[in-house]
Amino acid sequence: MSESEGEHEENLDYDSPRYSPASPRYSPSPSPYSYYGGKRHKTEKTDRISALPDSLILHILSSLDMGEVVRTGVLSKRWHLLWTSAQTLIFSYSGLHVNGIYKFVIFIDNTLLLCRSGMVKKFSVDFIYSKRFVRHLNRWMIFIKNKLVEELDLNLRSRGNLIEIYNLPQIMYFDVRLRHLSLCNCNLVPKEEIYWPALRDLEIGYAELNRDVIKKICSGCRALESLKFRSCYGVDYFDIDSKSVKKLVIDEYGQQNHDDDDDELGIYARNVTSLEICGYFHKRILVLEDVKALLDAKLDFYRNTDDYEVEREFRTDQNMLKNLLVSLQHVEKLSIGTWCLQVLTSLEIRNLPCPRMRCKYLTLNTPMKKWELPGIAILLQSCPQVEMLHINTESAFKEYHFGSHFKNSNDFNGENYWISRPCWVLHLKTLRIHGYDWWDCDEYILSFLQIVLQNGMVLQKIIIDFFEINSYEKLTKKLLSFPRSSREAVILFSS
Amino acid sequence: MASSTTGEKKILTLKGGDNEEFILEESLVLQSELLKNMVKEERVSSIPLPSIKSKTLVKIIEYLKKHAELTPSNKEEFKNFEKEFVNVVLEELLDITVAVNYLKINGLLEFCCQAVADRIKDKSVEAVRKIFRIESDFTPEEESEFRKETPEAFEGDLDDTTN
Repeated sequence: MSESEGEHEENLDYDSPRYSPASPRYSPSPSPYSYYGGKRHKTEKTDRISALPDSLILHILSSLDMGEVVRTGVLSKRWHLLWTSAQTLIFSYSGLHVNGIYKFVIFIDNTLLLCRSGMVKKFSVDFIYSKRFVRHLNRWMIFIKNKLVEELDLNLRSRGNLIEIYNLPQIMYFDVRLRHLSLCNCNLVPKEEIYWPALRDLEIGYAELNRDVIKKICSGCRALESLKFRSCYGVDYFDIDSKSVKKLVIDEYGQQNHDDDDDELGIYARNVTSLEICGYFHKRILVLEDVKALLDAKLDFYRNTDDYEVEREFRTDQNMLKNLLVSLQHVEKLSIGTWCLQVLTSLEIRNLPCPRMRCKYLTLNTPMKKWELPGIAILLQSCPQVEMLHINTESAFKEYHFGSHFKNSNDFNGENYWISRPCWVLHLKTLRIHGYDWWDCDEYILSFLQIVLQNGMVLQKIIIDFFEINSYEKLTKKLLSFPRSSREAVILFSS
Repeated sequence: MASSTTGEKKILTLKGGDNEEFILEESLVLQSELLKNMVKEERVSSIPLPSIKSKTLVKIIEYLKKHAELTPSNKEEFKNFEKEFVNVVLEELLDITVAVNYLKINGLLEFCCQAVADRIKDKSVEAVRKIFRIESDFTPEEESEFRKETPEAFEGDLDDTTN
């Protein structure tokens, strides 16, 4: 293709302010090259990127999808075979159409066939899996083994309710190169032991587990630090008997049948220092055991049953949460989500006690809705040592099924709620409130800030970190009118 | 500001392509694998970097300083700085990327490569050629043949604009 002079004129746009709107060097004069002088004009036409060494070009391409990487092969002869040396292979297809998926699978087959790299660092594939591709996947696994892949991401998605699961083949359970492994809709079915000595983090999503597999993971991955289960099912407890795993995430429990409803779901994590429980747990009652090593914990899950009009269900939630908090009394950093706060509300309204926590850093993931306020109050009262409180109002709100009877007979005035509460911020030094739009949560946050300023004897700063605040003037006026107990207290706006 | 030796801190001089000198604390350059080795093994106090334009060096030193000040509390601020850092004309971005690759500053290299890749992402072949001023030396027949070999790579909505 010959490029006309006219096209070169268009190219000049590359120095347009779009690339550096704030750059002082940009000159709005008709000739964008006036600043650089004539010499620059010459270099402007040269193709810099093709002159880079192969390794640097491949590094640049390493974050792109393989479709894009292969496409660079048509740019010029310099690029023609360059992509076959790529060491990061990312394949992803979001289409639903069967034909499209089939073509995508063939594209992967062909790309792997042409791959010239002796070693591939990362292999990632993301598409809607169906069983008819099992032989293709098995071949890809051989490629992965041969190319000594360190990072493997098999995101096999399912089509709606039609769940087709890939079983990781036996050759994959002995791999000394793997450092990161992420599996989705892919079951681990080792006939013998698992041996992944270099593996640092493992994420398993939508898989059927059993006690044996978890045991094999713990004993076969000596360097494993981070372990995440997302929407897995099939076990009554996660027994993480590993010396190396420090971070454990249980995100949702995938419901397969309803026979095991109402059962306990135990988490044993002897050496884990950081635990996160989030997502949806249908009827399952979470129990923590052997979590003495924990330093920080996050409870941001929600539990649901089919019948919340029954008082027994409230009590189940209350007892479960109380027991969880008792197990976490010693942690230094605690993070609590909206559902748990509302269960705490039901505790508070019934005048039931909340376990006393020793945490110094507390995060509340709550948009601060009315029916969370008593829960927040009882929690803050139970965490007397908190020095740093972070409220993230951007968190999604999950309404708890209090029922209209409960709400009607226990109604209260949300805006004046904090006024009647006793003092609870004795050690609080920093309060950070983060959110998107101030208007969303204005009503209860202002009165909350008022009380923090009024009661916080050692308060040093309140950081208000919102993306949008409609009227700074009005807000600052209000904030300045609140009396402060601490002389040092300052209010900062950050965005 | 350049000549004063502050306390025990070691001072190092970097000489850019146009002989401009930059004097900075030695600890700053340790983020660069190349300079770290030079400083540790050869105990030099002045390093000539003739292949790097002064303008590029200024940018990189700015990054090193910001990175050295990075703490958990100003993470967000640093991210914004990084975003602005690569928001420059392509020519300058490539200058920085090449220099960072030479100096072996791993974190920044990753970020620069990503920034260059972002300018390729979702673009049609024609747009990438225009953006990077790549001239095709394929005959139209060769090109269409290659496109036929891997049709999957050319499907979907690709962006023809050079924005």
